[in-house]
Amino acid sequence: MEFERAIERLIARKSEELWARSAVTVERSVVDRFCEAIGWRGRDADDIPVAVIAHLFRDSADVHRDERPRETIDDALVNPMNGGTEFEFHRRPRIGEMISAQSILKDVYSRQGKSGPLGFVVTETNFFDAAGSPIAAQRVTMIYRGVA
Amino acid sequence: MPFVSLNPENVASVVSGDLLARIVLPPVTATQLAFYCAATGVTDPIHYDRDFARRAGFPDLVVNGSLRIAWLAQVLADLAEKRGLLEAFSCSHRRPMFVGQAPVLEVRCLRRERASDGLSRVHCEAFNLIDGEPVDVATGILRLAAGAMELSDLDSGGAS
Repeated sequence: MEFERAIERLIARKSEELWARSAVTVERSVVDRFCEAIGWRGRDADDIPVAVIAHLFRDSADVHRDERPRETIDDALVNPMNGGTEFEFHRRPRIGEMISAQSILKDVYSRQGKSGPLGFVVTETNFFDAAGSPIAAQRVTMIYRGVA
Repeated sequence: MPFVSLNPENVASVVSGDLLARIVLPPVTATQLAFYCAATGVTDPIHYDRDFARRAGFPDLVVNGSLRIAWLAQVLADLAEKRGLLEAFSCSHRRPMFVGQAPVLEVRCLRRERASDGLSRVHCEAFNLIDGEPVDVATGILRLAAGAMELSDLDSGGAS
């Protein structure tokens, strides 16, 4: 029942803001590190890998050697599977520009799986330029398993 | 190894089912995963600590899902050339991927269209294949630079 109650708690929070950050600069060094990490070389100095925008707002690395980070949005929901990632791009980000981001709880729903109930939690992060115009949006669906 | 940049010269000849790109990447190394985790702030040890990954039930280090997404999104984006744009991208993971495996990224044309906004778009499907089996499946919509497709190329509702 705790799983079902957790899903109900999240459904009540739909559209709630999860976090918001402002004024992150698209640094050349960050972009270069990401290019090297994915093994991609741009066509010229201004070419930026499209997925880098999703990594500009990560917190500093906090390495857990003895346990996995507890990825959860509710204490009763742990160890999710990635159910899919979507991007919409309005334009490419540019080196040196300031970007802000806001993440919301976009959707929450449950389905009956073969081995028990499944909870689907969709978060949406929108990225904006200094003028407030949208640059991109990312939607991530995480799937949590309940007990049959 | 095909890679068809979608530009005004060649887009009119692209039809549904065409292989637009096939990129064979080298086997993923433990060093590459550690570097990716450091570059992106990923902290889960299943990606860089082999002993930990095995204790967690995996046969070896797990390749980050976000890295796999970055590969597929970038192959699609590169097809649109710099003046174009990857407008929409959707990816789902079918199975885990492990260090030592060599991804093969394939993109095929689903259809092309000139939308009501007057811009030309190519709808694509993309796969990350390991030993010929898809571990990631994606779709993408590429908006081409203005002038990349003439109206005369198209039937009503989209050619190909």
